[in-house]
Amino acid sequence: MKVYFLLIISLFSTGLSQSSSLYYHKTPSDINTGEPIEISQLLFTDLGIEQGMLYFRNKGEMSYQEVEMRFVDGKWVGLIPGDRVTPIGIEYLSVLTQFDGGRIALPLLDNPFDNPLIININAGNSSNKSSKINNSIKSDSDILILAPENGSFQKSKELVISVSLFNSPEVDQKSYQLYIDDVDFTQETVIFGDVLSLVPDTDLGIGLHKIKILFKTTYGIPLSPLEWSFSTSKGLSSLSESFSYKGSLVRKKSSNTASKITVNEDQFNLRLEAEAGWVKGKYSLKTSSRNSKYSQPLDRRSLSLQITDYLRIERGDVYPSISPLILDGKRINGRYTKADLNYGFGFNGIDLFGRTFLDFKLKGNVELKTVSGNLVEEVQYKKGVNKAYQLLEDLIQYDDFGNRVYVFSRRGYTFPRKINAARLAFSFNNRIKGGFHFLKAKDDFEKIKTNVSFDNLFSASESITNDTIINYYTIPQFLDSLINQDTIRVKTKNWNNGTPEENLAFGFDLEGSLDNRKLLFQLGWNMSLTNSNIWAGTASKDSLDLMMDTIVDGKLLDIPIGDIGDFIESYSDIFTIHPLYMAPIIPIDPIAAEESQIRAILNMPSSAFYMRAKASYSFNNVLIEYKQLGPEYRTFGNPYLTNNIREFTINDRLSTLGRRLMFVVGYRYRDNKLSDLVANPVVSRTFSLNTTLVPGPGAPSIIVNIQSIGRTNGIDSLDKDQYGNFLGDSRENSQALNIMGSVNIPGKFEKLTTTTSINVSSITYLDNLASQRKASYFFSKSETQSFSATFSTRFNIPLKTSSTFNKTMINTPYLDVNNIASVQESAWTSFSTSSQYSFFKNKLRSRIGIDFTSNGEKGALATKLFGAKLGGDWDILDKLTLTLNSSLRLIDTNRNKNDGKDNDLDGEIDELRENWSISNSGINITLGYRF
Amino acid sequence: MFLSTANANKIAVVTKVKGLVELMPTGNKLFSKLKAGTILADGDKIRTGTSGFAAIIFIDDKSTLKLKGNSEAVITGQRTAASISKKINIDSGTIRATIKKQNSSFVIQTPTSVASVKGTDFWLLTDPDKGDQVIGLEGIVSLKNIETGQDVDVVQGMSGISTPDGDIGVEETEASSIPTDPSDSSEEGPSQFKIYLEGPNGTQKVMVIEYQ
Repeated sequence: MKVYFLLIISLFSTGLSQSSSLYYHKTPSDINTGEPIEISQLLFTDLGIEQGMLYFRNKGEMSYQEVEMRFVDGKWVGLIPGDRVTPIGIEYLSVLTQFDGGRIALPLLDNPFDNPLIININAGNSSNKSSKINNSIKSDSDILILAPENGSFQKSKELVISVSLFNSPEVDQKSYQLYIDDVDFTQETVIFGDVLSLVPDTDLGIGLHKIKILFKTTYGIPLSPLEWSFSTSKGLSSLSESFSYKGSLVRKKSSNTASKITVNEDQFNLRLEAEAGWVKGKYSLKTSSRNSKYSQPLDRRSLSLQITDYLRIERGDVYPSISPLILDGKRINGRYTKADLNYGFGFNGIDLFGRTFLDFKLKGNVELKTVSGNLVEEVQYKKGVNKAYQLLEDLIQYDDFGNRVYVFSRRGYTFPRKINAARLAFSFNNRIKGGFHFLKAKDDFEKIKTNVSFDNLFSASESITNDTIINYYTIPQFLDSLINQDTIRVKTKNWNNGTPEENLAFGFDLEGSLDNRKLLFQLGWNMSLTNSNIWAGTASKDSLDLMMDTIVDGKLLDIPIGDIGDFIESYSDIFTIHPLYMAPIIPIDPIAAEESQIRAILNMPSSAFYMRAKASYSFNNVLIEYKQLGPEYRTFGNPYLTNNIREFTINDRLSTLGRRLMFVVGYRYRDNKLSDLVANPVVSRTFSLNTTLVPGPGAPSIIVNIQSIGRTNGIDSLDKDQYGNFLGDSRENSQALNIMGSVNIPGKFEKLTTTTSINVSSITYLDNLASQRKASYFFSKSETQSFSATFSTRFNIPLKTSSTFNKTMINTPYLDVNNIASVQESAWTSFSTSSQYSFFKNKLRSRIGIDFTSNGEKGALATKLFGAKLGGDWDILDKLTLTLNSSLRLIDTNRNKNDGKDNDLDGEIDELRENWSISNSGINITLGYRF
Repeated sequence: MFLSTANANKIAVVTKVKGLVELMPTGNKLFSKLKAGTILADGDKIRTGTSGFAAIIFIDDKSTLKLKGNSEAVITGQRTAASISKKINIDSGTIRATIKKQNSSFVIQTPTSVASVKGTDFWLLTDPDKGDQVIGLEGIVSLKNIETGQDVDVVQGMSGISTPDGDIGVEETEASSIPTDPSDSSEEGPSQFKIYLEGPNGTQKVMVIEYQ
């Protein structure tokens, strides 16, 4: 029973630690800008997990990116790429899919996408993690690139790389790194008199080259990498000389057991990069023995060609970005091309009467992106009962001779979803930017066959077969069991496992800048049309006639159906118009238009727009934004968009004390009152204050974040029946307070350096209507307090260690068997320590670690986990590395003690050591070669 | 790396060198070969051979100076916290200056004239015997004759002439008189396509199309 109640954990909004009877998860803390974030989830349950997906986005964004999670060291792990980790913060959630189709969400809610967990990101860092260089805490515009110009062509023998720090006195001129095409040229580079200068001794070869320079401030705070590119040429005769390549081959075998289910996997990875002249090519291949025709592919292939700076062509698994509200980084199997053309021209004008007319100078670029391919791959059917066919027992038909015809529906299929998208963008003099874009996605339902494997089982009840023993049949077996001339029929469409859909989304965006881009104005508008059942096809004239009434009068309302029908048919190649399945049926809400046409246009249910102003002055970065996504706005390219909201945000990031002290103050208002029809709008108001103090190298850094979220649902009275009797209390008026504090203390001693990180967090809720509630009212907000400390050391000898302690206290409200609101208190404690030591001049690197987790309960509810991992890397030859990782985690739960059951299946109810079992185990062996 | 006098104020960097180009660092009396990447200090002198060419770029605002063959110039600059006041003393030769909008002064001095600029692009051809010719490509150059103190504004499409005799004036630029820029013909930066137009009254105009 308790398990059931724990399942209704309702951690609204943010959380810094999430644990339940199903899993243990701690939100990562002390993360710096640019660092990849590992999200891990340790499962306690016996539920077998088929796959896991991690969804993340920058805080406040509308859409999520998705990353596949992998089972590593007994945990489900997903990685948020470092380039997505910015001071704005990260919101994330995960969904683990069980073999039986069930799902486990993190946070454990019905709507995790609306309530993601939050990671606050450090803007800067003074610890020894400073080698992670992507912290972006100041504008780098003061650093001047002198040579070569971005996008310019150079003769390779005449190349000079130079950067001026004249206007950047805060840059530490003794600490920098310069890379060309990821090759370190720092040793050849000098900074003298505020000028960085490099004349490479080596010939870079023909083609496109990228320069990256890493600077720090005099306080040791890393700046954003300064990156730009140029091309070199020597003439076609040296094309063959310029050919170069690099890559890697990795073979990995793994065997992981979790929840008594073992998954063996054999992976092969190939990465190849080649360059010749103006062309750079990359090919990557990842295959897995777990790839199956019964699920979405795990294999990945991609080939990309970069032709100078102007044209990029990718094929295979591509991740295009067209627009945040259309398509933004979702995987597509197909083709992605991007052409980026700079232009610049002018006219001196014509002198007439002493004045010059028609003179102008224009510079900018035109960008064209196109995408085509499959958003989702076809799956004909799955393995398992009722995963290919389902007998529709309540739809038995009869033929002309009175014989039964048993009707089947198809199951377990996934329609391949074709997509085409494009964007045309332009910029003028770096002051005006804009673009138009569209996306069309359509399920190709004809690719799913009606008749597939007849080996799959389906269930048939005794009332159909009169057989009390056999419940599952294949189609041939079922046919054999039929009597008389009874037969079967498989429906050719309108199956009950999902309908094919179509989506069309389009829009534009504009940006204007003033004062050297210190002041930005941005505007974007999009609209969508979605057909939720294209099996129905384009609406016929007859169906239109009878859509709004039962009179065959050739009219839909007062409009002749001939006109509408012709219009619909003429657009059938673009979109399948059928008013019964379309959203919206008409773009503008006619009821809203009666009151105010302007308001009706602004609040079109399938539109999404934003208006944004950004200003960067006097160490202030101010953002003012309004955005609105209608309830019917959908784009298949970004299925995790939060719609049905309107939101106003104002933020200011203020830097003081030479950027050592930073504040981010913000306010966000959000509701769903997009029309007057919304009687009880859900409103949330969020105030936030983030403070970061980074005094300088060697000094502790302090981060304090406070967030207050007020939430109401617009209901101001109790639920009562027509006689005034109390039915329930649906009112919500709550206040959440999230507080997070973090201190990082670097230490430097004679033989070692250390980093100590201490984090505390608290999430509390206040019911503002508590004094008006009845005693039986259930306030379903969980409160969490968490403390964690990490101590890392790096010795002069090749030894590194890291130890982490975490304690999380969760108060979870639940209704007991008597429907009385109670609170379940639990205190999760975990400790882990790991170390790495290198032998033989770093050719052999060993790793070892142990961990312990407890739910803090006593007696039958007590659960403890003990884990250990062991691994290492061995450089067998130059560039050939063998890696071994293994892990074992034991679970000790008193639930199995003294229960009178044979839990270890040894044939005896001896209860001896039955409390111990293997939670998970795994071994991975990888052989990798770089060339 | 190639560093000029260590203790002097650094003001510019040499980004391109072709042919014979020499440097006399401030305080020195001998020329040595100048290499690309050299960081120039206040007072450094540059000399180009017959087919020599050098391009330098100032570190405060990316203003550029290109010296064609048979030129000799002293690059000076006074650094402040915000900018560098630049002064080029050129005894002879041909230079092209592409000047960003200046917060401080940018002056080119020849034996004959002083050219002051605020943000412009122009050629200056100087000869101690014949005088100076300033060809305006963009913006305005104030050209002052040292002998007489008279000055003229040279705008785009016009050429200012200043002679040792004290004559100074402005005339329309003949397209053929515009020197070629060696760095334009190389693979650096956008290439230019020029269309010369001549009006009914004989007025010449040039339409420049830049492409990459």
